[in-house]
Amino acid sequence: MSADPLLSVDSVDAGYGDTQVLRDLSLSVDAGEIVSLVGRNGAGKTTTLRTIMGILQPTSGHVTYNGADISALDATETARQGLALVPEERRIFPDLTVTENLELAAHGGTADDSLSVAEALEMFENLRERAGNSGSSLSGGEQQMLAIARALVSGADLVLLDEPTEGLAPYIVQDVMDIVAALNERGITVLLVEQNVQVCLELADRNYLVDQGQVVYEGTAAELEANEDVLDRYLGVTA
Amino acid sequence: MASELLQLLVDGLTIGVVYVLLAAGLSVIFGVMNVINFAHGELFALGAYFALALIAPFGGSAFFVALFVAPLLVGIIGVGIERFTVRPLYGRNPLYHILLTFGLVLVINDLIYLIWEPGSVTLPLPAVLSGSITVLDVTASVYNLFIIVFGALMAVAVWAMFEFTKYGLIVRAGAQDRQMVRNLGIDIDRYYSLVFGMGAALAAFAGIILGGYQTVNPTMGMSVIIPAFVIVVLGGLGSFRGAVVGGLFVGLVQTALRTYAPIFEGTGIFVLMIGVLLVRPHGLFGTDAGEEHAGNLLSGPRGGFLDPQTRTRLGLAMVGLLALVPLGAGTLYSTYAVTLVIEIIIWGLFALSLDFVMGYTGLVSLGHALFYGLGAYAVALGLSHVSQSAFVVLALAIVISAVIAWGIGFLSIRVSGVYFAMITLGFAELFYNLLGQLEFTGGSDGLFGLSTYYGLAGVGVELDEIAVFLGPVAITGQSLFYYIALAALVASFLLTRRMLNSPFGAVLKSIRENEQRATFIGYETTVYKRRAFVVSGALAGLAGGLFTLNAGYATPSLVDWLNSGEVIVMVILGGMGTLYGPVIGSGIFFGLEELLTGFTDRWRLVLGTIFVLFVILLPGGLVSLPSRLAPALLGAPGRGPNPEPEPESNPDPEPATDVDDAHTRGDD
Amino acid sequence: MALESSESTEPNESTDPTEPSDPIETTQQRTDTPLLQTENLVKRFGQFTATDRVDLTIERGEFRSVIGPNGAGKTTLFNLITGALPVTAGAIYFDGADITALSPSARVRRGIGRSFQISNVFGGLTVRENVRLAIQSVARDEYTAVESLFKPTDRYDELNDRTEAILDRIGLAHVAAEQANALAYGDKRRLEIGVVLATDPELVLFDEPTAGMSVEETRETIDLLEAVLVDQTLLLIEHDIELVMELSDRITVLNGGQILAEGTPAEIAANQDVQNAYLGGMTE
Repeated sequence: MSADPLLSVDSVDAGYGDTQVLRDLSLSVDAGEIVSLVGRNGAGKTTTLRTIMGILQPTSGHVTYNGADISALDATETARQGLALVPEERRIFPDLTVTENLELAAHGGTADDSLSVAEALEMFENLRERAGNSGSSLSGGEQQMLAIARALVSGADLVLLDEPTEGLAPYIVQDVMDIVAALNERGITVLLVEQNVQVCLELADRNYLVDQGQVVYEGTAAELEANEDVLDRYLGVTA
Repeated sequence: MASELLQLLVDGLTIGVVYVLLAAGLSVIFGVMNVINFAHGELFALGAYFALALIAPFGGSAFFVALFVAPLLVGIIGVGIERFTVRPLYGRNPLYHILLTFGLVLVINDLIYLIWEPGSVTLPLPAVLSGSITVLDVTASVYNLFIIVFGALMAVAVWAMFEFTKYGLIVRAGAQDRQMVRNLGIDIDRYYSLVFGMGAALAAFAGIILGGYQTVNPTMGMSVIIPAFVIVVLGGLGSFRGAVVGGLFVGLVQTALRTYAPIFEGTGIFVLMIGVLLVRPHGLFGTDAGEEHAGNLLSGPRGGFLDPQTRTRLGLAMVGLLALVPLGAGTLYSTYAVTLVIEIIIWGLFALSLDFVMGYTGLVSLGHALFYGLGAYAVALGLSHVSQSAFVVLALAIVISAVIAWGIGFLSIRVSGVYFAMITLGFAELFYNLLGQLEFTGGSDGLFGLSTYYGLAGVGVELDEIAVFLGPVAITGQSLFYYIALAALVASFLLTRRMLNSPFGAVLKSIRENEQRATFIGYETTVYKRRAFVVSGALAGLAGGLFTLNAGYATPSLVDWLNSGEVIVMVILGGMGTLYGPVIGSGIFFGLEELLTGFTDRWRLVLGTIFVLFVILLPGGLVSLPSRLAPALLGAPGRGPNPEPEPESNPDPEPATDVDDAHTRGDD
Repeated sequence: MALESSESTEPNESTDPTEPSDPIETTQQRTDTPLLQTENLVKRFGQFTATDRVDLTIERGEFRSVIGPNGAGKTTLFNLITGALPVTAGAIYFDGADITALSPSARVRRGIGRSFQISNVFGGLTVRENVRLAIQSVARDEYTAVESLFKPTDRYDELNDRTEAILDRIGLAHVAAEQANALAYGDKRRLEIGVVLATDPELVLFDEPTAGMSVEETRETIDLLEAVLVDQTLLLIEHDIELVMELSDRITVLNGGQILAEGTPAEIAANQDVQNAYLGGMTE
């Protein structure tokens, strides 16, 4: 990596209470990349995203974004720096309408170069149809779209996507993948946690394999695909 | 007939609108911040008093100025309360807020007594609002109509603010998912002060307009807070719509009952609330989104600073010391000491009973005075109708309290968290109001002039007639009773401790640790919680029974919600989940009260301030004090001079949630 | 997703001679009925169908694995079988009796044990207390109400003997007095298995027992499972296909809430549908 990466995580330890989840975890993401974190349940992928976002603070190590140390910032502050987390559970506000969910995101985050609410509704046509409906009435796929749209409206430069295809029907998985690719074309950098290895291989420029809170492998999609040993040992995917 | 109904409508809406304004703030404060604000009623009263102070120099015409200035001032006070007392407690168990706002009730209420005169005062009204209008046989005072119109406008304004402004959007979102609002880059904490201030201002509005309708008096806050809670619970905690519908509904129902069925005026709304909660556990418009993870339970330190042996010795020494108290009464100190310590013992038993259910299963009973009162009345009625034997009536008290506790537990234990607290409060208030109305319980005067003997089947003695001589000291009358109370306390402590070491207690502890897991090793956790509730109710009944045996009377005031609040205060003060902590809490509570009344009439002000400071500074209870101070006192290595170990209080509400996320993660 | 036959069939058609309030009764072997059977099981969350007309039959003594991509409905299926979630439609039979309406705890007492995805023990209690709670749960009918209310736990000699026996079997006797929170990850997992074993189950459901473990730890855990749970019927959710292929008698593949395929490891490995849906042809 020649230029300074957009995000770098250096030797981070983090966890919940007495339970240490991340152990000396390091990774970096360049501007404009799609990078994926793969690994089994409990490997520490979600925790990595939460630590970057500032929901968890690292107990040691540093998170650097755009050249500035953001390790000590909380989620509100990192969001204002241009990070957005799309959590696994999506966390749509159930009693707010689709439009209100987006408006709220527009109030937070960074003000510059963000998508307006109207533009977001333009971009996500299935959301446009449901603009006045409450968050709780959306299907899983629509909720995922809204969660991603929210990140866009908040003006994020780096989107942390946690298992965006989880629980979605195959044809919706494809929609989500298309949207992620579209985000990336708009110049947004994506750090993706995904258990569906296929999705990672298709979308990601680079992949990190996380196991027991550490990065155990790094490689491009092609490299990962060719590495049967890694696939077999850590992902349990083999034929 | 039609005109009568219209009249009813006007009167009902007048009260209803006041309730709406009062409950709206209370509900939103809960929804957004998870704070059960008992002090809301006092802010309501404060609004009326501020208006009084503003109007008094200028006469009625200043009313309209006061109507806006007083709420503004109360709103500023609300912001201050949030900023300096509530804020340090975010992320902790809502129980802390009960203790905190209970302390604030004492402080604000006593300040009102301090500044203004104790009696009722009429709020001067401007000439425009006096007089009445008669349309179609219906006479409505102009002021009534003013209240309805003005209150409705206020409610609409608040609604519009929530619905159409950025501020409202953020607050609504915050009530649904705080962390996600933060993730979007919005500093939600900054909005809490505003929400609290706005809620306080709305309460002040309500106080002023009700003050003009009725009178302004220092107890006005206490008398509306419980109906306000009923409305909030009825409508659904955190729901503005629920507060509006609930407020108007309760206003109308109360007015209708007063006219047509006065017997049910006091009880009707509680029956309504209990009924609604049983059918819809989250109220009419509530969703379970409002209910958050409870934060860390604030039980006292397990194991703690002293080893078990030392603690046993200390306990024995304490009991021994207590046993000596009556010996010096009348010679070394006045016999009042015995009276005081009996009170401490009885309330200590009461607090212990609450701890058994609250500290070990996490069920917060906000109406525990119900069982205390049941025991008291069981003894009083038993003495008049069943037997004059103290043992028989105490047994009666225990059995009746246990049976009622089983019934209430059966109905309400499946209702969780705050709603359980509210449903127990509802039952207690229901009983309180019933007592005031029933003939055979002596109505609001209660039952008194009771006498008893200690024995069975007519064979026994009265305490005043016998004496035990220990050298030069004759122990008789109340001093003998003292030993009976002490024995009851010690026996109850040993009994509950024994239970906690039994398989039953092991299950209770497992429920406290992880209720879901307890279910998946085969325990019907609701059944165990209910059993714990029955034990707790029975012991509270015993405490109440002892009170009546000693005092010779039982009055409805024993069931007052303030008593339920006080006993929670004692439990938390001493240290929850320890059994002995609450007894110490009782001692501190009455000791402080005794000490302070000696110095000042404004003792409640001081006491309230102590609670507020206590809850902010020492959340683990007094029993956690030694382990906190130990490092400093003993110079324990590694801890440094700072006596506040960090993990005790966790300012971030998220970790508990996170761990849960981890459990459910990959719920494929 | 349309749902043609959501109506459950008569729930009590299989014989249910004794009203199943007695958990001991089920331990008697009745080899004519399968141990667990689900009929037309459906679970919907709003518009999302997580479990879609699943008919699952598990024979006594079997080692069955459930695999499938994320979102296939594996954990939901587990939650329905253990009673953590109510079914939308369909029925569940255990040992021939309809348990569809039973509470989770009642199912545990019938003999359905469950181990959790992430070790989920009583962290504030000691290792011994954790195991004893489970033993005590199934043995509760052996003691009177007075005993269980007042007799200190350390005086139940028989229960304590059984507790120690379990602790020995899972290799945690040396840390029996420690707080469960203080255990290393692998030991917590052992304790978790011990607690399940202590409830004396006939059928044990495991949700990714080796998640987050290193290869060696996985090996140890599997060895432990096989050593400790010899008499039990096992139902396993697992991502590690190699492990599944090696251990299972039969494999059920879920996709989109439905059963995509079922068969022996060899059959599943050869199944083209499974290749497409789950393995995605990625190692072709």
